[in-house]
Amino acid sequence: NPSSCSPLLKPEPTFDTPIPPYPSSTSTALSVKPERVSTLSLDTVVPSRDSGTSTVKLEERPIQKKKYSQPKSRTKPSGSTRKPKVPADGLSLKSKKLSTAAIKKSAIAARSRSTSVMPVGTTPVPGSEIRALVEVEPDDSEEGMEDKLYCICKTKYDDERVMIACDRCDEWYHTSCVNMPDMEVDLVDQFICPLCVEKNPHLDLRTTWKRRCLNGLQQVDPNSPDSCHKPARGAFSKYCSDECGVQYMHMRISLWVENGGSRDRLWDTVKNAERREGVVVLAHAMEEQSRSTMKMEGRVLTIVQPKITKTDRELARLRERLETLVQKREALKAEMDVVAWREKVTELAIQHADTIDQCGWDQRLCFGDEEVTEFGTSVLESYEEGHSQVDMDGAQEEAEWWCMGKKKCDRHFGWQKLRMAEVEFDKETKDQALQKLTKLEREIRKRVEDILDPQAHLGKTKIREPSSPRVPVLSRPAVNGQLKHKPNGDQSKKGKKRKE
Amino acid sequence: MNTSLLNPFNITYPTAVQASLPSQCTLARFDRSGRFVAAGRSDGSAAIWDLETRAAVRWLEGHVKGITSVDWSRNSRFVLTSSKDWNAIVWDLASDIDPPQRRTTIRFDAPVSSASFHPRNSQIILALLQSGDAYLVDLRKKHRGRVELEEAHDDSDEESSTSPRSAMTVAHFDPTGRHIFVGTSTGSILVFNTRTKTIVARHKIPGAGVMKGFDFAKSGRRLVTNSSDRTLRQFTLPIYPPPIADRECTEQELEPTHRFSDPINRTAWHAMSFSPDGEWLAGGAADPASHKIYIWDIANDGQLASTLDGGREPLIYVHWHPSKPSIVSTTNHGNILIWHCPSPERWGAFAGGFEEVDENVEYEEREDEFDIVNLSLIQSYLFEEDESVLAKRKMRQEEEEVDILTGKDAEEDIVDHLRFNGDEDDFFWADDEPDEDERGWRMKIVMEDDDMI
Repeated sequence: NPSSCSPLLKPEPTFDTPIPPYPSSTSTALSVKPERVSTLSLDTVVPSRDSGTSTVKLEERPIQKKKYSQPKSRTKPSGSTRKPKVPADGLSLKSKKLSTAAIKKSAIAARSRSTSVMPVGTTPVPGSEIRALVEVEPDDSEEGMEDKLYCICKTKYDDERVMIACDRCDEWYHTSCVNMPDMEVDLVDQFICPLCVEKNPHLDLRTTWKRRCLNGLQQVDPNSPDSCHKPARGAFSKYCSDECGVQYMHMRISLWVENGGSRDRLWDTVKNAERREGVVVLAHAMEEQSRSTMKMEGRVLTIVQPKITKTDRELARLRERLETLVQKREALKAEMDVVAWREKVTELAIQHADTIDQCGWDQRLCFGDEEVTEFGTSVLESYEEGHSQVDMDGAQEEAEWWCMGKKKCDRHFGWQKLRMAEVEFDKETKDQALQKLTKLEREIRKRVEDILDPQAHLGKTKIREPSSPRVPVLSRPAVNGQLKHKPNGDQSKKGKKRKE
Repeated sequence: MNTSLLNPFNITYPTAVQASLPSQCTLARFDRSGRFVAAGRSDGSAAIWDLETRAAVRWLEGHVKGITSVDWSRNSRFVLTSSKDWNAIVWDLASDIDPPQRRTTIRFDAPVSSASFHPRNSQIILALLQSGDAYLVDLRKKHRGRVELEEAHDDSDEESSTSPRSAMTVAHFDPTGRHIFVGTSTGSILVFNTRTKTIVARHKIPGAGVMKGFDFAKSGRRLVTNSSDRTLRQFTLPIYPPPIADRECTEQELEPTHRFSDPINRTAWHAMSFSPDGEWLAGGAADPASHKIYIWDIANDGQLASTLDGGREPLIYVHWHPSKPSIVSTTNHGNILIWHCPSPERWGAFAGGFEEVDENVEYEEREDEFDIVNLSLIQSYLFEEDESVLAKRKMRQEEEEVDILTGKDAEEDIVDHLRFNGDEDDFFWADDEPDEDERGWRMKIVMEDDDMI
């Protein structure tokens, strides 16, 4: 067995990556099965594995380009030798024949399992030793191939003509007989022969196609042979290959530049773009089939386009953050107002205390925030009128709040400096917090503008900076037991708090 | 693994320093969960240290003069700092504005020597000023206001007469929150009812000088006082009757159950702290040359159990962890020392066949040694159990979710058991309009760009 497998295993280097060399003694079909099975095990997304690998195959074996076709739809390569004539002892044949025959064989085998899970329940085509071919050992399968008749036209195998296999019944048909122009052959996803379609009207079968490379579609004349007729790479890409993608973008950019675009500015905006690492799509099981469906055990899945685009989602998120930021800023501003009031009152009180020979401490400086909102204005008013009343009798009924003690009152000694220092400090911290919030807000607004601006569309250029690094605001240098506090904080050492 | 080996019924005292945090602080207190330490510095800022990562996670800057006391709210969300700049600030650790903003500032007209939260509601705050007045500040909307705690005088007409009245030097809530205990400069303890702000009892402590500090056992039944005669006295508190309308105040002399002092050197005490079960008392000695913490065994009649030596930097403050045998103490140089109970790992005690070896031993197992099937087979022969049952049990065990997120809840409202006398008015009053300090609140992790420390 291994020896008979060898003619098929030999050309493996040309196949390269897609088919791992299996030492299995079973038929070749099984030996290349892994590739097959892997495609089938995909539940929903990325049917492009196939096309991907097939593309790889195509590129890696340029000689075989025309002859070798994709796994999903099987086409018999033309120009190869007649397949039956591969005797057990493959060494006697010429290498070329060997290779092509072998390719064809494994090509057949490779494709054979496109519907391996599908019950092949249709009427067997006469002479369907093809199935026998793939299940039985290779040396047996070579016989009887010469006389087999294929296609609707019931002719013997002619290796000059391209053939395609039905994915249901495993029968081979000439592409010309089933009305498939050569250019479309690459784009076939799953081919259902006319016979199967006819015989199963209740199933409503049809051939499914892959999406075409965008480069080909966007050409001036899409149907010309020059345009790219290869299939796109599925969910990952709209193009069949990187070259097509690049070519297409070249064309678009040159058109845009012709119409007055600036190449440099475009480069600036897109230079940070990165390759997508993955794609997540939502797929629904739906009744009807459309162009981009994958058939799987009778269930049909469609890829659902997200209702909200990515940019919209991003915009919504940014706007929400903006909202919360604005709210915080408002709250901070209100607090700043209170601090400003305190500052004013402290100043007024100090001034007042300077004029009289008493302590002058204003008890209302102890007001909490709510009391400030309630009584704030009345306090300020009291100072305005206060000046005129001071000369009058010392005992003023309303003025209980001024401490009447001596100038250097025991309890309140030094209140002036203390209060001023405190108010200054408070103001500063709030200021800094406010600044940070303003900065954040500005950044977010800028980002929103960037999104809305069509020139700078790529979303990945955003640099993540959601919550700016939290750093203690006024870092205090290590005080070695020194208690003196600089009222305005140590401006030079903002940033990191040093713990020495 | 260590904690599982430690017998949970056998909370002892710590013996060695586990870590030293360079914080430049004068005070350090554990929070109720024991995970965070609030450190107050002499320049007016406070730092919150996370003991699990041994790093400072928040800086609270707002005071312009040194901090005199820190207190935590029940679920560690709010921190109260009082300072010599006449203010007490309540910080909200859940605030996400950077830098952390204060929740409220309570201003007084004299330096605040201490401030503490009500144990049940962080909107009720007790503040003691250096001038000797104590205020109960209520920040709730319905009960807003501040009340000065005063002893009732028979001659209530006079407004002054500050001379006979003794200054208050210590003020503290008891663990239930029903009463406020105030120590005076003449060596008495005044007990006020929190809700009515009236004095309920007056205890004269013979021999004690100025009261310097209080600490309560978690149950609230025992109180340790620190006074200027350098003795720590432990009292068992009587049950106080609910306050009645007329000004009735019990005058009682309390006799301490135990006295703790240093007979040799007669050193004073800076601070003391009960262990969570009340069995041990840690006293921080005011020794100017070394860092000494004395541990007394209260269950054994107050004998000195051990002396912890923390090095050459003299001690300033001591606080026992709320649930573990761990102590935090601060030194003169600003370092925070965390003490713990080092337990040597005894893997030999883990399972029957374990033994400790000195060197690595290469072991080659038998081919079927760790087969699960065999094990269950053997078991089934031994216990005549069905193999499938065993297999099922094993599967079930594997599927059990291991809960790694919920921590041990700190004292599960032990205090609620102490609703003696059916006087629930006090609790309702305190719980009315609860603060926003919910149980499941967690502090946000703040990412810093540049490297810390």
